[in-house]
Amino acid sequence: MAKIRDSYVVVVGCGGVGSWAATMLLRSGVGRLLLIDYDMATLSSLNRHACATLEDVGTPKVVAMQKYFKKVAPWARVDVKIGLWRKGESESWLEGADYVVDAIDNIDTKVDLLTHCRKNDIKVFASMGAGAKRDPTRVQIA
Amino acid sequence: MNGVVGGIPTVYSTEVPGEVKLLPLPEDEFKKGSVKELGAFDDFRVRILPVLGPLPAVFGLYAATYITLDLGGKPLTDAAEIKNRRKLYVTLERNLSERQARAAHARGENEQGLQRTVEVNADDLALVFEDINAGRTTIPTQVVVQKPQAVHWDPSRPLSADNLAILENKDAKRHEKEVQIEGKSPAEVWGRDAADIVARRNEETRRCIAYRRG
Repeated sequence: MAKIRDSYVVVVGCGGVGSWAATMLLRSGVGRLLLIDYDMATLSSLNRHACATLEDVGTPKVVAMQKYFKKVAPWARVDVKIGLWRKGESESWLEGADYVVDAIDNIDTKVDLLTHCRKNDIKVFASMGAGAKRDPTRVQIA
Repeated sequence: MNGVVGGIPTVYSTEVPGEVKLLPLPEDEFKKGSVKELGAFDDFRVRILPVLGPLPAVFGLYAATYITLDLGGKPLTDAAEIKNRRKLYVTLERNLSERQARAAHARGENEQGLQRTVEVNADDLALVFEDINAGRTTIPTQVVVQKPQAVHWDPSRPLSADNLAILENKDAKRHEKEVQIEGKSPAEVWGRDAADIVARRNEETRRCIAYRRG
């Protein structure tokens, strides 16, 4: 458990997939998180975001999450970056991370992020697209 | 890609989307001006895929589970795609091959009772069993059975992936005896309704195989 509390996870992409991953990582005891997403919470986010509320619509997703996380685990350190992860610019954001979650929905950005992590020996877990799916029993990890 | 060979744990779904398309942009959006500007960035797409709420949550929870285990020193090393099913498909293939040999022998065609490699392999059977028949028997009652069998449905046509039915063991024996050896038609033995269901399933198999191999 101590190992988990001492961990630092960076979540790149805080939409439908990333927000749930981040929330459960926090609840499971991860002590430090960095939430990265350029986007605002919108009305349509509400059907799948882990914690965005009606009041959060129009504000950045990561800020909504940060506020919520503070109420769940105030002892955790939760930082945010409201921005797009870009190759050549954002590598420093991942410094020191024990794990990176790739929850990006743009394929080019995704490939850039994964390439960077692999080439720099940063542990990364990737999520593929959850859109246009309806069968949870077919979800696999490989 | 980019020289990265592998080694990235990933959550994904084996589901092939059905008749789903990008949601169309409402007409008035086009009237308002250049719709390209609606995208968050120039090179990001404008329309979105429809998303069923719980699914991305499931993906995210899989990610959190995997990472938490890894961080805690108990990594998930044995996560397998529906464990041990491969054996089932190989068994389906083997039993089918044996049944074909037996039936042919009983009809006098296969004097030495030799088994040939059948035209339908374990991968085809995986598709037919899991995807086309949802892991159940084809004819009603469509149930999950312990020892499913794939049978050559209509012997008047060659054995192929789109000429199969999944039956439970005792029905497979009956099919072998009455349809394959005695020569009755499948509709005669199993009923018109069952035959229709099988026909629909086989039609779907045809479409899927064309997609796979096309």
